[in-house]
Amino acid sequence: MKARRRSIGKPTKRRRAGPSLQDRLHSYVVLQRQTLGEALQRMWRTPFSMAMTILVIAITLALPTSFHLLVKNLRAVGGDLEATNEISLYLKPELPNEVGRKLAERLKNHDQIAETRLVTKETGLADLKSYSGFGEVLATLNFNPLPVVIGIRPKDSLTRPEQVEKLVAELKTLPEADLVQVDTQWMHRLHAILRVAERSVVVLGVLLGCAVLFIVGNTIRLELYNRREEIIVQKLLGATDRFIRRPFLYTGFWFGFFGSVLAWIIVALMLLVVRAPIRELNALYGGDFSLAFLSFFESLFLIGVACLLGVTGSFVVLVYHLRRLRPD
Amino acid sequence: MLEFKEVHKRYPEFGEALSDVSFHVARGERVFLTGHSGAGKSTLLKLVAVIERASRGQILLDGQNITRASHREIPFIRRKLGLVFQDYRLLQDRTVFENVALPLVIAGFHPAEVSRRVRAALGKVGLAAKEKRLPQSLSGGEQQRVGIARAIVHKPAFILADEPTGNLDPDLAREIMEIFVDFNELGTTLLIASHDLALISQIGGRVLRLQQGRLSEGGDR
Repeated sequence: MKARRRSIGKPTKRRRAGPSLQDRLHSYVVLQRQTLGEALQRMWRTPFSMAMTILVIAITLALPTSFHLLVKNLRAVGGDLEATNEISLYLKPELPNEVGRKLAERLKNHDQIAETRLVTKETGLADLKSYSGFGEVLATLNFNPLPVVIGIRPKDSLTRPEQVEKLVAELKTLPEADLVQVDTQWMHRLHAILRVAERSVVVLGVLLGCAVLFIVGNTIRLELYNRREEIIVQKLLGATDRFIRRPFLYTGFWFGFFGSVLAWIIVALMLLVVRAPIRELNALYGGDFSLAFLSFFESLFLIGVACLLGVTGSFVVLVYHLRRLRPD
Repeated sequence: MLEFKEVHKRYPEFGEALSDVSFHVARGERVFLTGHSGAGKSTLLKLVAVIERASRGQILLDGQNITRASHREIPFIRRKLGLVFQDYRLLQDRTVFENVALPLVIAGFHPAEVSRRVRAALGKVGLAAKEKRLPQSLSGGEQQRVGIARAIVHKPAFILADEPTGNLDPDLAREIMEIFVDFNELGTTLLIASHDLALISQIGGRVLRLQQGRLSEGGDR
């Protein structure tokens, strides 16, 4: 009789009785799938509050995500600008064009320099006359006061301002050099600002991640309160805390999942909105800058972290409140 | 099956609810727990289901000292019991079938096995045709039958019922009691709290009488 009962009855949680591992696993998987679906159905029963919670989570997540995207794009712009940054090497005024020409040729072979451009005394004067409006005054000069200038474009491999500065220092030691000019100051500032911004993204992300934790936790707490009669009955019928927790953990998971997917959509829409003005800006500056969106892994990271936050938020609340929810 | 040894239960706010209670219930016995309201009947049943803990003394269920059970062990002790309540305690947003299936789902039974057993249990209480109904659409007597089906669906050796007929009129009360007796005749141990002495004497069975927290009849001393 006993053996027969065991072979039909398949309680998966009983410690000693021996349903096969396969049966136990099958029941477990079926139960998980059912609970996952039930959690979703239950959320659908109160569509308004569900939508509100998901929206709040989505906005909370969209904030650090869009900020991250902004920093990421600024960094790309910064990189582009640096690449086109030109160093101006002013030779000593007494040196003739010929010296400049030879130096320009020599520098072209330097392993950190991509290109050089020679501006002779004459072309310099001509440029100055046509651009500055000092034409009249310059005409009265009986000599050419301008030095030879060599425009130097560093190789694209020099992305960091420190590297460019090292090249500048090297150029300054040339005996022909009078003055080497490069606007590295603003590059330093841009990099510093970007570092601050990146750090802020992390801080903001952690802070708003905590917010998501609390939003989910509070929603679960309310849900727990609404269903306390059901939980008490389950406890009376021998449910373990783990069994009671499961559907709520899945609810937390779904909140994280849908919240992050909606956050992704919000960020994508934001990008669509700014795309047109960015294109105009691009046209004005003649840049070839294209707006970057979240990569596959960044998207995966967003959704993964949000799901984890949802589950964690509900778990913390459940552990705390289930202990206190006891029959009578 | 069940043994109380000098059990005391004190509530800080109300004082002593049970004092020095000792008794045995043998396997397969039919025992009625009577007494006025407030005599400690509910408290005694709560101690068996580990809803409350004894302040002093020992309670042995199936040889296990449940007064010392840890938080983790409690669910497994409750799975050995079938609990029936005066107010039925059915989940109103679930069908009759789902209500009865709950103990099996909790214990992790295979879905096919769950359906088979739930149908069998509903058949035994005469509600096979109403498995898709919601509890609200049933009469009080029918709801209590659902409660009984839920208590026996996992085939417990021991049924505990707290005033199961308290909310029912005499005819229905008798019907419900007869269902309990049927299970008892198949070997299930019964401990039923009830103040309906007339019904108890009609049905027949051992009586434990509580008076102000003490056993005045049927105890071990």
